[in-house]
Amino acid sequence: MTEELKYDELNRSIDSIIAGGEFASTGDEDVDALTRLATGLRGLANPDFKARLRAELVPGSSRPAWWPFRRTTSGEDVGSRPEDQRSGGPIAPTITGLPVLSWLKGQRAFVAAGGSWGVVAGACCISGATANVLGIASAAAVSEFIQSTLPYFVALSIAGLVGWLIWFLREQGLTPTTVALTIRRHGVAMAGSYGLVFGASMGLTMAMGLY
Amino acid sequence: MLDARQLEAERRLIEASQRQPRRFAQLYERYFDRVYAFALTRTGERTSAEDVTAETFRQAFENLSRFEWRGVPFSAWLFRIAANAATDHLKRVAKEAALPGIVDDHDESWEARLIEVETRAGLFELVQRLPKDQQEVLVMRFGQEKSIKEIAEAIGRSAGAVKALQHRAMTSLRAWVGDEND
Repeated sequence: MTEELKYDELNRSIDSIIAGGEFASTGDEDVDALTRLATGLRGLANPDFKARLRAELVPGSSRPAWWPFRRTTSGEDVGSRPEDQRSGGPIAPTITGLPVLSWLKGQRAFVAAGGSWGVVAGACCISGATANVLGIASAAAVSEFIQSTLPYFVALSIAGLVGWLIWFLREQGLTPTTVALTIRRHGVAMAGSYGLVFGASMGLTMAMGLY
Repeated sequence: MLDARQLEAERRLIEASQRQPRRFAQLYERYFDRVYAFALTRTGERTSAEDVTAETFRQAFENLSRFEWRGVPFSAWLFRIAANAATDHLKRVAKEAALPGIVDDHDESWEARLIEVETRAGLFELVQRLPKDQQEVLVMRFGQEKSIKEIAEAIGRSAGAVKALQHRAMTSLRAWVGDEND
């Protein structure tokens, strides 16, 4: 049986199961095994129901889209709603479904955290540059200020980032597994945005000849 | 079964939920699949399962402040609520349909069906480990009972691609279930 035929056979069996039918052999061992498994999925919870009940019980507690520990499907069928059809049908989901964009979408909180603490790390550079531009401090004074305080700002930002991560993971339980999983999944986004923001602030002061 | 550390974490989460009702959302996420699987096993039908699940969590939420930790998993308390909710629901359905015998079919001890419930809940949880596109297809197919054509329109792919995703998803689940059983 070709792959396409198997897909069709399985699909027909699933149609029958969803319609309330019982398992019926297709004659293909693989398809039969998958069909048996499919009977266990009959009645899988509708995510709309789950989201509605959660919102009803604990208003305002909707899980954010970037929640890292469980993948969720959207509450609504993007692309099938009337407004989606009017605005060009499935184009939007196609764009947001691009691997890079959908990856970024899942990293928002971590990009924001990395970027925010990157600002803290670069605060001495930014404040020094601002003071120099406003004429409050000379270039030499700013340069000395940056050199003497930069390690503290960097240390503070790293401590803050670690603290944020601990706060973030408190609900899941702060275990080596959750920490490793989070760093594996989101470390690049977090470190990337931190480095980008901090690097930009450093670059700015360097370009101004302040560091 | 939860080990001592997990039980302790659960106790802390329950106490936190008793102080801050918003934290109940975490308990909800943790136990939704199992309660729903229990309700589905008990009632055998989606709408009833949803009614029983909703009633279970409503009661749990309302009575959480009265819950006293005695070292027994929270799920045992939830299942007891769910069992009562299911019995009440089935009685009500039987009464409305004037079929008094319908409850007898489900009169066996709910503890006896826990293995079936755990298997089903485990399968539901495995769906959430699938890659997002495969997960989406299975949720729309089984959770929302959409046809391949409807799913294809919703996610902007061809019907053939959706069937392939469906097959791939089922194959992954089969492999994982096999691994868990080994």
